Amino acid sequence: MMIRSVYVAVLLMALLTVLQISLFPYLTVAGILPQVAIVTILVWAQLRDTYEGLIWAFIGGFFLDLFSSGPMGATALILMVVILLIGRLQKMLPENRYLLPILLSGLGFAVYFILSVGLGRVAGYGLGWRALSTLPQLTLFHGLLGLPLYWLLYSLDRALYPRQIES
Amino acid sequence: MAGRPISDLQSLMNLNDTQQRVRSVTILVLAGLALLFLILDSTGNLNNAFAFLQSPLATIANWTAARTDAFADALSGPRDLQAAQERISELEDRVAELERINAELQEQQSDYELYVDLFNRASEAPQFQRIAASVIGRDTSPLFQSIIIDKGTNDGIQVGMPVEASRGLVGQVYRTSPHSAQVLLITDNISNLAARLSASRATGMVFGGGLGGSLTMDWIDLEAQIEVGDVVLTSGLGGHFPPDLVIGEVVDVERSEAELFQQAFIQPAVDLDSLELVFVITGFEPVDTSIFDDLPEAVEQP
Repeated sequence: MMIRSVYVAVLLMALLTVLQISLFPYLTVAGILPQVAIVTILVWAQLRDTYEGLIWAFIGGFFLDLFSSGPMGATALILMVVILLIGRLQKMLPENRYLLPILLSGLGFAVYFILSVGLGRVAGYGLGWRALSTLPQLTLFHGLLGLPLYWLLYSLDRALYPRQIES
Repeated sequence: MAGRPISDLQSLMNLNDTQQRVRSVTILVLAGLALLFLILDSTGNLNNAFAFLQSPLATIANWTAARTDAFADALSGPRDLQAAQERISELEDRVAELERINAELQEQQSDYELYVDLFNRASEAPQFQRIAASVIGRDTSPLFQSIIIDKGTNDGIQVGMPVEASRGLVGQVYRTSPHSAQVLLITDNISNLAARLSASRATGMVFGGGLGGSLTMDWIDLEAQIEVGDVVLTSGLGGHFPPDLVIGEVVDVERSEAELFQQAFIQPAVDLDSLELVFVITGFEPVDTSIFDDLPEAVEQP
């Protein structure tokens, strides 16, 4: 089961990384560049479990870092921390297939963004805290992006792991 | 017989414990790997691995970028597309064919204009050796400002080479792979370069502002007279960039007698959000700093 998930993660994350650098820059909404690969990882962790989310975070973060001028490994590390946090939070909140994906995707992206700025500062990448001024709109946008991605990935999840009805 | 369910339960629990241990170890290994990447990257030891992994994806991105242009055109003009569809339904086959040819010619004309701009730029400064490259992608992180171009070490691109567009400076090559390279834009947070103002000849350093694509020129002498609209050029000091490349123009000045230096806010000359073609400057004559070679040796203190 896990091996299949790793294969899917590698293929999907490689594809999303290519689209992230070449196609998505043309699809900005009110100046916001959709970070589809990151929200996909956040949503997959909600659909499956924290452990699988951590593996996807590592693979996705690795691919994204290949085409970023930021420090290699940083996105993978930050996303793994974010997945652990939203995994804990998901267990505490009541299940809801509409509000929870929005809340957890938005919150997850906000934590990812704050940690990225923090790590960028520590690693000497000159990021200022004023980069956080765009955080509210980024959080809202990526929270909302979480909902359609949740349903798309829900279909993928069902296709990959069909549920058996016990008689 | 009665003991069997208990032993099954125990073995199940043991299995769960084992699974749990495997999971914990996996996560620790992955986190450790990510940390290792961070450390190796900071020491520059990941460059070869980077190049190996980046190449196939960059090739795919190159292919995707070519298709994306048509997609972006369709997105930018849905009304035109709809109108065109209505017209196509009314027109004869011959007219439709002419429309298609016309569209192709327009696309070619747009490319031609880009090339003419670049060619004009090349003839303005023929002393530089250049390689033309297409922009095939942008940074995956929302926090960093870089682009990916379709030329790499196989084409003679090396880390540190300056990159310009027809209107001015774009940035500097930051990472390379055999078939692609990553260019750090002048607006990135870690970008800084020696510059001077064309009118007053005052020098300073231009720093990238990161998000929002702003530039700031700092460390300008308080005595220097700066006007809004002054053109900012590379000074060539430091040897990383050739002199007299246009960086942008001054849009605001911040001057305080309490400070040692004054600051100027700069609008980049190049629209860095819509870059398609760029020049990588592979050879240029750096500013002559040989005067500093003959400096008298410092007197040793007893």
